[in-house]
Amino acid sequence: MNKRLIVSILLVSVLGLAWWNFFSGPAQSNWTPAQRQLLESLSLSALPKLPEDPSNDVADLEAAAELGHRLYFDARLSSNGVVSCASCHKPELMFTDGLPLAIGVDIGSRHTPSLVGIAYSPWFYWDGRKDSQWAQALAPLEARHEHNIDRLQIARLIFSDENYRQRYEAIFPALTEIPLDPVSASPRGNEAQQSAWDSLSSLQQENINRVFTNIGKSLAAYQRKIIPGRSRFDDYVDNIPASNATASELFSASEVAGLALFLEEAQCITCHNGPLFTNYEFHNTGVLAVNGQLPPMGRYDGIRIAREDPFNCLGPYSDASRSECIELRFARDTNELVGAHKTPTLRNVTDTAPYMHGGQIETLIEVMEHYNEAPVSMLSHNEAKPLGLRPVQLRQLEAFMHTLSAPLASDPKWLTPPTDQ
Amino acid sequence: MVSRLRKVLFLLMLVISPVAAAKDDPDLEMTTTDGYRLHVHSQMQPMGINQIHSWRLEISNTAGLVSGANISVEGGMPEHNHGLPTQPQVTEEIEPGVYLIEGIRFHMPGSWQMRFVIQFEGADTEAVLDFQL
Repeated sequence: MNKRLIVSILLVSVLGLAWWNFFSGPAQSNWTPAQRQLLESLSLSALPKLPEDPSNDVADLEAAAELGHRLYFDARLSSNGVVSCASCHKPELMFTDGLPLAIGVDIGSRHTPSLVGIAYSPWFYWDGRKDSQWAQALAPLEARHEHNIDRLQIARLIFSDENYRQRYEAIFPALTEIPLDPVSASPRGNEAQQSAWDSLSSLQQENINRVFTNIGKSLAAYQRKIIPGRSRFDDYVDNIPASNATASELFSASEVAGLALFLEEAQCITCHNGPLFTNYEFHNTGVLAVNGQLPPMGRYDGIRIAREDPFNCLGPYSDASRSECIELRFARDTNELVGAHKTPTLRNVTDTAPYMHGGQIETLIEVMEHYNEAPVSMLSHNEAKPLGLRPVQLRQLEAFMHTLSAPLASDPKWLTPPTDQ
Repeated sequence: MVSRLRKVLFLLMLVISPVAAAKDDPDLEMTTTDGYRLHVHSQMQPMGINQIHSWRLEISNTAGLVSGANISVEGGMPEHNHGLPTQPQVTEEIEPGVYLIEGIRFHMPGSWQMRFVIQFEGADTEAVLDFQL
């Protein structure tokens, strides 16, 4: 009798565990009208045209994109001659690098974000410390762990390289002589570089800053060409029949279930919304700090840095009028933003591991587990709430994520170094 | 200031159309219990998420258009206990009783609420506008 009871308990336990891990309830057979509306809002068919960047007059100039294309792949823009923008933002990895933390001249403190569709974002960097793509492009050039070069050396390269000089002067005002001495100078460099910068006349400083910002604007023009391609998800949504039936030869039952979870129980769509699966906003989701680092303040500091940046939309190097700088002028800076980081796109997310601002989470399924648990934040509070999803549901969500991968829609010529470089 | 605050009259307002189909319709309307009528026209048509834009806000009361009022704006998602991603402001009275609100951006689908405090002729009126995106 006792034996029979034990066997029965064991059997029920095993079956229960198997159900918990491997079986989900029946998938919904039809999307509701509200769900269908949400699904259509996620399709690339709903992607508006690239927003204009009023702070960059050459943002959509082909010649500027071509100059930016050359600069992007040019490792001469680094102190050791081996680091280019493409060293971390690799086209073959959806413009990421596959590493937890970026490695340029030295190891950095943040994970390399994808550049796919980034021109749609009003803010740049994980903490939103830059308000334009061109202003963002300037910072890695002078960062010690990234390119570790400076604006004077860059201006000198543009002035002395015949190809660059011709291309530059076809877009921007003719270059004036760039001083050969000092060798290196920047207001953002080390003590020697700052002192060298102070030794330059204000006119020389202004000339160098102009060249520097025009290089950033050209790099931005190039990066606007990096746009996502239609994935299986887009085809699925665009072919939902009038009956709103969920079944389709384009999606497996598991992918449909994952998509339904994405919209409803898992609430991923709260932040990963719109055709690029991001609201471009900043959220604290309780991700652990990178080993050896203090928990970062995130957007709380980022907006303050952006406001003080001489290269921001309201600054002297911007081409925008004050009335056009609406994101910067009306940005929020409350305590809600402590520890908040930017929502990344989920387009091609299965190709861009590891994840989070410090590459803290290695795999996509671990990301699902993180959101399922919603741990207490090290700093401020985690906006996400525990989801209580079962392992099988996390795998369904992961299956759905795979439907968001597709080759880029960009002209292939932008995805490799220029042929004449 | 204190006497002014004493005069503050915060009324929880009844919203005439509690959930507007804001996605398709760029206009929202509500009337407060003390007779203030607010009409919003969104520059973004249809209204949606992830795009910063402006609103035209027309305010009238039983005496007519409300000109020269001080208006503060707050917004958020009560269900999620968070505010707007931006800090909108009234930057101009475009014409008598019509105000320009700049810097509005919504970043999630769902139920949104905008709260206006209208300071006019020594009294404060709070108006709450609920809508769905």
